[in-house]
Amino acid sequence: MQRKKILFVFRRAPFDGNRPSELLDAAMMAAAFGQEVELAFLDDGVFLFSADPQTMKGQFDELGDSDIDHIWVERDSLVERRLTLPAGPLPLDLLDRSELTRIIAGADAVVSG
Amino acid sequence: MIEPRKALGSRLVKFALLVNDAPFSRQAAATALAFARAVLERGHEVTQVFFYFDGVLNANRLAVPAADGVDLAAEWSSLAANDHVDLVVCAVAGRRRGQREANLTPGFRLSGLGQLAEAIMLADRLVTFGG
Repeated sequence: MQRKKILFVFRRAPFDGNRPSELLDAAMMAAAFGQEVELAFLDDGVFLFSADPQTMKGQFDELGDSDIDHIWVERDSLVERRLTLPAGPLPLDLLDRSELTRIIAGADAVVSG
Repeated sequence: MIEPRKALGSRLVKFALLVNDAPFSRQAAATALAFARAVLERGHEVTQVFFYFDGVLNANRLAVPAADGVDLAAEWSSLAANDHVDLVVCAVAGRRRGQREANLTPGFRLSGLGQLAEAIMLADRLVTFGG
């Protein structure tokens, strides 16, 4: 079976219901199925890295050990919210909004939540 | 320059649908149903509809719509019976929201998130309803 590139797009804040946590579950499962999985954080999704996401902290800690291939964070969303990325163990790549369209177009499937 | 996804041309396409919103709070589920019907009418295939997040509530047979309203659960059920579309409800997301085997509408089934991964792998296109 063909390996696909699946992009999971996080747009909600960690305190905005259970979606970010459940979306991360889906991403981890796709990675466990051997798919090429990328995560993109934009809009209020960037709060997941800057706030204290207690509800997701355990899951994010696991990300370092998972088979997620790439994690993108949209620079414009950070700037609009006056946030900066904290130094941490996760390899995060900043990109501009215009570049994000290229990432989305390059994915075989996009899952947002 | 953005490279578009490979065009599918006029061949038959396998679609997997992801429904993320509850039936009576947003438009997404009704639009997904209309999309599924349109796809089938044109001879394409809907390999699976996966219900996730609040979308799991679409399967609740205990919900009673208004007498003059649309019974979306019954409509999905009819799609499963007549067109053999696989309606899969995420079991874990369902349990969190009170959606269990006992209150599943006929035609829906509970399963794990692995089904979503498989559906994406097997389909030509994944279409998401409700962001």
